[in-house]
Amino acid sequence: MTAGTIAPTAARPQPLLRALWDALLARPTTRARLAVGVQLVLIPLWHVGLVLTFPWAWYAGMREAQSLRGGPVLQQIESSTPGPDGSVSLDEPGLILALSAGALGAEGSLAFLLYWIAVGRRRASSASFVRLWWQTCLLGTLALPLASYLDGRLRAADMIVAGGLAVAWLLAGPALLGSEEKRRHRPCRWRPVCPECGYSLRRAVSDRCPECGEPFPTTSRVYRRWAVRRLPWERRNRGSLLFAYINTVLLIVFCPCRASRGLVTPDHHGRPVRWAVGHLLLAALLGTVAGSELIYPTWFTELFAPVVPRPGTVWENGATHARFVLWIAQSFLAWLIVMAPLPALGVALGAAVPGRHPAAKRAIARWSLYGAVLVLPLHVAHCTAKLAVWASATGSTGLMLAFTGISRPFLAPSCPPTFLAVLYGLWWARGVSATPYLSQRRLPVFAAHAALFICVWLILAKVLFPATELASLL
Amino acid sequence: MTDLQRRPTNLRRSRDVRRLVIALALIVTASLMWQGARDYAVRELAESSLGCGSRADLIAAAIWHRYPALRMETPYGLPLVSYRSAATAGAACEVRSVTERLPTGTSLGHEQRYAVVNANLDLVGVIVGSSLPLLPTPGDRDADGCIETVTSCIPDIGNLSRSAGLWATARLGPDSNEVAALVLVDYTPWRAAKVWIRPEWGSQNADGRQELLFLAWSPGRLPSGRMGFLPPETLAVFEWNHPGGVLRPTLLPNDGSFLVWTLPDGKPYPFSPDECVDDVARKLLPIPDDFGVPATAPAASQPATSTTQAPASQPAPPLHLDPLIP
Repeated sequence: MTAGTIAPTAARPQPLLRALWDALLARPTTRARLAVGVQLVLIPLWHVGLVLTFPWAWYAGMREAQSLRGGPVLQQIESSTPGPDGSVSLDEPGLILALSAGALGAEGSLAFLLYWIAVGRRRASSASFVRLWWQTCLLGTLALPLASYLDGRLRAADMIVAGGLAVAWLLAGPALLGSEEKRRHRPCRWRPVCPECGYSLRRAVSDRCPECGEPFPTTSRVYRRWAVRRLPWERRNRGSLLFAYINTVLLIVFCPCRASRGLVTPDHHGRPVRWAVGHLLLAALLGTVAGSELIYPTWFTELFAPVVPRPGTVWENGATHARFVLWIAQSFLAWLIVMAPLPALGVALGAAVPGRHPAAKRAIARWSLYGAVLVLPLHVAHCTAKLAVWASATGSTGLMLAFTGISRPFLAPSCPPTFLAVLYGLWWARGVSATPYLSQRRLPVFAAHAALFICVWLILAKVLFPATELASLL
Repeated sequence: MTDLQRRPTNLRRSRDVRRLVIALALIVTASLMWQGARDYAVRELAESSLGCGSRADLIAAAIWHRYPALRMETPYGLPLVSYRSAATAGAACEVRSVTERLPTGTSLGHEQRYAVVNANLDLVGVIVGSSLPLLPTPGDRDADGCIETVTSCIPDIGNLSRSAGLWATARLGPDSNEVAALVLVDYTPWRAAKVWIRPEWGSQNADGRQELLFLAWSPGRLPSGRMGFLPPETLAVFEWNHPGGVLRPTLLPNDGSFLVWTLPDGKPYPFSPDECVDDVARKLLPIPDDFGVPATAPAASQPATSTTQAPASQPAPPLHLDPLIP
């Protein structure tokens, strides 16, 4: 019996419909062969329907746009395909089918290799892998709103960044989910520790830590899960502020589950608020700097290259500095309006679910506020990826890339808000599902919260408060 | 710890549902308020964003909301450029649809229709030409209340490689446009030195009028040691004869590189907003055969063009070519 098919009632097979339902939801089932068969059909269908469609739709949109404009937009793409004298053409369905099947096979092989490495030889099984692969596809559906800006107008760099993320998830997803399952099957290793210093509190009887002497946060049974070590930034004695800050940021970005567990204690309410406000201001400033052409006056650009006199530009025309400051302020405010709702929505969603325990609501609110720091690395990562794509496409390396990066850091336009919201939502849901109050059913909680966050954000941004024209301010 | 948190779950749930409903009501109300105020916000922000190169979408949306007939969808970006200077602000946007960009038979088929709006996003005129009327920026340059714009025209459709530029100054009006000046520039003397010749409006005089200057920008090493463009040299100066009149040259180089069109009576030449300004300019100031041709190349080898003569269907306008070559 493998890890993926463990079930206490293995002797009695499930009813057919129940087994099919479990296979559809990628749950472990006793009818493993049936589930594998169903999932092996569903996986290609999902790929054909949701993954392979978008590049071809984008390609078709580009071709249509090219035919309207008449420019050599697709020169590189066309040159990579066989010439007219060959027998192969992109319009042939057989070739598309063969390429798709090959790509799917390669994806499955690579994903299985990563899964095998992550889970270990003894626990790895093909049935479990297929189930986790299908689970990866299902969870990948949550990121579909990222495709909302994939159309003919999209820049190639955006397409490559979004496609790279999708490929990375499809390859690494089974391995990540497999190692998650492996960890879940281990016995719980939680032991009560002092929130401040991490000293073990087993058999402790006093209301103070015997090691550091700090009083315990609460004696209430409601908050009985407080005995977890805090995030470094939350501790009373943070030591070096820089070290604590870097540690906290790294934990939130790379270990969201651990970071979320460290925020369960209901005190220090000012710190998360100040943290969120500071990082949102910083992120808005970065958005203004990176995404806007406003801050590059002629003298600055001339530091890197001679500028041809253009009488139509802003600065030669004598636009006043007051106007320049106004534009910067508008851009900054627009970025703030885009970014601030992300943690605010997390707090609101955490509090809005009826019947949830107040302790859980507070933990989610604290995680949402601390998660505001995610906006910054997500923005930087997206812009850097686009810069890298641009550099590789134009052959720019070394000094030229450095100069380009300095003079126009991230090549406007910058990170689209949809991209930020979807990735923040996934990260947020990951942390919420690790909160001690909700961690019993981690994967369903993650999927439900991610879907809830993304759907609510899309409704807010696209339906209730549409502002497509004002996106120019970003 | 409050007692409220120890209440039974059903009580807490009903309280949560009540709060959720109130929050939803507030959000819907705020959404309705935003939907009502959005157009005003877009208009105000667009007006303040004139001159900002990265906000073409916003300005175009505000213009289209006010003038739906100007709306045009293009696959890539927006054919709109806005401008702002101490004297004027506004935008010029392309309003002819993509499928309408077809050869007309009289020009090259590159001409497009541009609408020009002022600082309040009011439509001040429409002009058809081959380049965006933004070099230099449009504005009321002769203090007559109308917008004047300088556009670059194609001087010779028979020989696009000819090293010459045709600059037309047009006054935009609601019903008809006017040609206020035409200048034909031979770039040959400056081509080897990589000198850029650009028109630019000068500073305002006591009457509120601005001269049209032709500046030569030469590349060179700046005092800071890096390469750049040296301070420009003024080649030619044109002055308005009166508000609503035409531009007359007051300074021209004596090497024959500038050819100027003026009307003897000092009145501008009216033309329809549907007429291509390139065609009008070529009709009024046809390029001589040997103009803009390097001295080493035989002039006879240049192909003959039809633009040296006015179309037979229209009466030839009275031309007065200023012979600058002594």
